[in-house]
Amino acid sequence: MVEFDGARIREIAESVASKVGLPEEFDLKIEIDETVPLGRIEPIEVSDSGARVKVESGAIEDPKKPRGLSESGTELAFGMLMMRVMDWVNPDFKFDGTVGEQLPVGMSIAWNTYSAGRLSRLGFERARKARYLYLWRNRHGFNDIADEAFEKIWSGEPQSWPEIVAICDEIKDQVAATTG
Amino acid sequence: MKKFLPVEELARDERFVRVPIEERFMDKRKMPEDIRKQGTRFEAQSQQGPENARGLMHGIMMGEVQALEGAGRTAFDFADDEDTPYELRLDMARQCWDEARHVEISMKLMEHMGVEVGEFSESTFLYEAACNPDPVLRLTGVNRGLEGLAIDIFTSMRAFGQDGGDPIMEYCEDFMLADEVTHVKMGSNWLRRLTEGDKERLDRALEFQRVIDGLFSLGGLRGDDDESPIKLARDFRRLAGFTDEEIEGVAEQAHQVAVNSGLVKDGDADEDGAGMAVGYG
Repeated sequence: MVEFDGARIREIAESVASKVGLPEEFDLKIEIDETVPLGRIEPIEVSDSGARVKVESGAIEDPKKPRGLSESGTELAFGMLMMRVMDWVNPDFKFDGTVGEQLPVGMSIAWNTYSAGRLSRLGFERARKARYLYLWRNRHGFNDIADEAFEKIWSGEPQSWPEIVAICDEIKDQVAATTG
Repeated sequence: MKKFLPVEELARDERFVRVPIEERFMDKRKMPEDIRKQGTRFEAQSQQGPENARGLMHGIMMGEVQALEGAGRTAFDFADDEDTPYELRLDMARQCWDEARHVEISMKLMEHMGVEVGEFSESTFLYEAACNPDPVLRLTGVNRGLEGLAIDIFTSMRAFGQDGGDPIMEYCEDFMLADEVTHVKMGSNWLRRLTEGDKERLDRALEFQRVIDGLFSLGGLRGDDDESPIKLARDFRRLAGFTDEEIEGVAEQAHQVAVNSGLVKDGDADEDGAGMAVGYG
């Protein structure tokens, strides 16, 4: 259904793992679902020693070549999923969710912002700030307070999930205080 | 200057990549069941809504570029044609002015949404519809068919901006929507004037529009079904000169495309139709 080269996908995954600092002994299995054109990425299993993640084909597809592989898009998608998995298993990050649990959309985009900000600083060309700012504003508001919160998360200021949650919660409180 | 410029000769720089419409219809991947009901909708708070809107905005910008090229061509291609009234070409010149403004607005909106020029592919269907050798068919296909689609899309994008509390999106789409209603009305007016007493030409023009409406219901994404993320903007279509019967015709045709693409279910319809994928990465 798609024209993806499995060997090339593996090479990209290995290169991204090296760039983001995924430990070599961590057993990460990435399953590409070729039957679905969407771009969802879902962890199926996560443990301290490894993870299994499902990636829908649209996540790594070239938007300018239907059913073709995008190298930079694959780098970004894998970078995002590896950042999230590394956060997940990092005890200092203190994420208390479970596999299969659907995060609220606003919190999901907050985590994506946190991941993309770090990838951007690592030189991932597709981790563009303007894109994530737009996605963020749609969930947290088109206002200065939400933008300041975005900057904090993008810049990597929070070190844990509870801190990210607190930043998001503060937006609502501050906007409410401003608007009465 | 060359008249009747083929689509292959449109000027583009290296950022733009064209994908033939047939390529999209060859995609055999299917929407998962859960997404059929929610994921393709343009809702700011949905998981994929804003990401889908980014891709759509690039498509809108390319459509505006081609609408500018098409209207400009119609003003020029029929300059020596004594059957084409000067006022029709004046309308096309005015439309060029509008479309140029829309290109600029769309570029600003892309910047606002973090979309780069050339980030997505270009489909050239709008300009191709504007290559018909009969000016009446051009205006019917482009101004009533594709600009009618633009009315539906801009109405949906305006609602998307309202839903997400994005005033820039809301107002920009509203400004462009007002122009599109005028463009569709031009198509309706010229169709009526130029086919007066010529039923065969009228029938050919309306058939051309039906083909375009069917092809460009976006795989069922545009329609009146609950699952369709881009709704038929009935009120604006009436303002633009569509009769209720014509609007029902477009709705029914869009429903059939949606059924064929698997977006909606209908036990009586052909299930073997081609689908259109909506990818985002």
